[in-house]
Amino acid sequence: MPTQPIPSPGPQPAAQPVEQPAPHYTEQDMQELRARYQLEASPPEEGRKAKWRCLIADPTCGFNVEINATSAYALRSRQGDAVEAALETWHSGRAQYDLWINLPAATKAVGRFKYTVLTLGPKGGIIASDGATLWGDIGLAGRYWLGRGRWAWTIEFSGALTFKVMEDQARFNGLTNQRSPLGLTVDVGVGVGGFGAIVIGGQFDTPLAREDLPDQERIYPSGMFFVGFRGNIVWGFPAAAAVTTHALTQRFVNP
Amino acid sequence: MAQPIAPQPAPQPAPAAPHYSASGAGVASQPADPGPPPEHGPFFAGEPVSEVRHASGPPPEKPPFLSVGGGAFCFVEDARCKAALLASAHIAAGTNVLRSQIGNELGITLPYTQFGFRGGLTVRPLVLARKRDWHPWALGATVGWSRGSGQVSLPSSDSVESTVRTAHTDALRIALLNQIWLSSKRNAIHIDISIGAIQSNVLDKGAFWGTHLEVAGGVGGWGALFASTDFLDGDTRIVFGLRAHALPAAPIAGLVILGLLAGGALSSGGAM
Repeated sequence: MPTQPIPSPGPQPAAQPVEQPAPHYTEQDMQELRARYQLEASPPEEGRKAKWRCLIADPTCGFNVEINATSAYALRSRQGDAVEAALETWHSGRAQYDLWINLPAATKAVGRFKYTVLTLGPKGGIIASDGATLWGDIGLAGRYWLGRGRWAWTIEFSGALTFKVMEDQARFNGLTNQRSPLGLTVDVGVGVGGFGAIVIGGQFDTPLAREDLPDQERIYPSGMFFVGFRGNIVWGFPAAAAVTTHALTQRFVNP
Repeated sequence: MAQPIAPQPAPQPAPAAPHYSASGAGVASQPADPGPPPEHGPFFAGEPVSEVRHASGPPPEKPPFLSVGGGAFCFVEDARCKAALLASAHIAAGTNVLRSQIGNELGITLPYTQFGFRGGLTVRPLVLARKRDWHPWALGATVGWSRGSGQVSLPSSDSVESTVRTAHTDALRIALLNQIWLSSKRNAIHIDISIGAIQSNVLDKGAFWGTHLEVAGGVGGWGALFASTDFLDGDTRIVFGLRAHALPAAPIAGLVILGLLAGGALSSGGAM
């Protein structure tokens, strides 16, 4: 007698997978992923905040505005007798106050935070020396950060066009406005954070000696080399040093 | 015999595609397509979504620096200000072109440097009129004063007059200011055009009225590079300079004056 075929059990309903709550990876998976791409194992959740609301430059700041004061020793020089090709030199001081507008020109990202590597932007200010001489300067300033910390080493550089604004003029009995053609000043420095830097630089004042000018209106070429300290005025010492340098130069330097 | 064609019912329209609301609340039941936003282009784009940000500094959603009413009035001008105060100081250098013949004198073209101060007010008319949430155009009025280097004229050959030298050149300027902001983000760059009038002394001939024009490029309300010209009768001044907001300029001016005072430069009959 033929046997009845054994009915196949038919398709069985697939076992329902157990739904795991999101995220579908563990912290160990994330550590393995970070290690695979040579990333920091435990990146910080909160970024380091700069002090004084970015009034002092910091790599964690994007845009910032700062005021720097420079106090420096200056070896000044001026054209002497043109026939003998003489050069008058004298030891003096230099005080400079600049406003820097720092735009983040280059940044890098670490974890979820951006750090500024290079700032670049316009700058302008006043340069003071003996003889109540005041120059204005308008130019460009930059700072390259060699680290991400508040006290990271920096390389600062700036260049500007200079022009005399005021000077002690005997014919007008004292301090009054003075004209001059455009000169040039450049400096470079090595600094610590946005707090201060040792700078070295120079300045050249172009001459004005057209034939149609009376002798009293002629301006002879002059310049200076300087080495000093530049720092943010927020923490006090750079401003005090610059004012002191300016005052002492004014009182005791008489070329 | 052909069978009559029974009329077929019209096909039902396809159901509307699900519309996911921006807040992530899920599928809206009866979506109404709002259409594209009325503004386009880089002027009107907000801050892009970014996974990385600077740890310091104000977040994009914070109101402008030193403002009241969430940007209704700002003491330091910025892109999101409906009205703003202008207060600045500047230094500039250029050329003073004197007409070669002024009366019996020969004017001399000389380099010219100046410092000055300016105040004013700017508003965004289309934003204040509630026609836009933001607009790049701002309108303002400014008043400024400057003191520059003096002028020189030589006597002409048939004149008995002596050389004229002035110690300084004072000028008062009133101008209408037009601004175009190139972005709505914090500390955006803007282009300013000013047209106005100037009153200034020419040599020792007295004060005259003339025309003042200026083009400037600024970074927020903090500073600007500018080029300006003043046209007076027989006297033209062309300068290039930098203007800084009073907040950072005041400490700089104060420190310079302190150094001059401590050095004795301002105490012995200085003829400023």
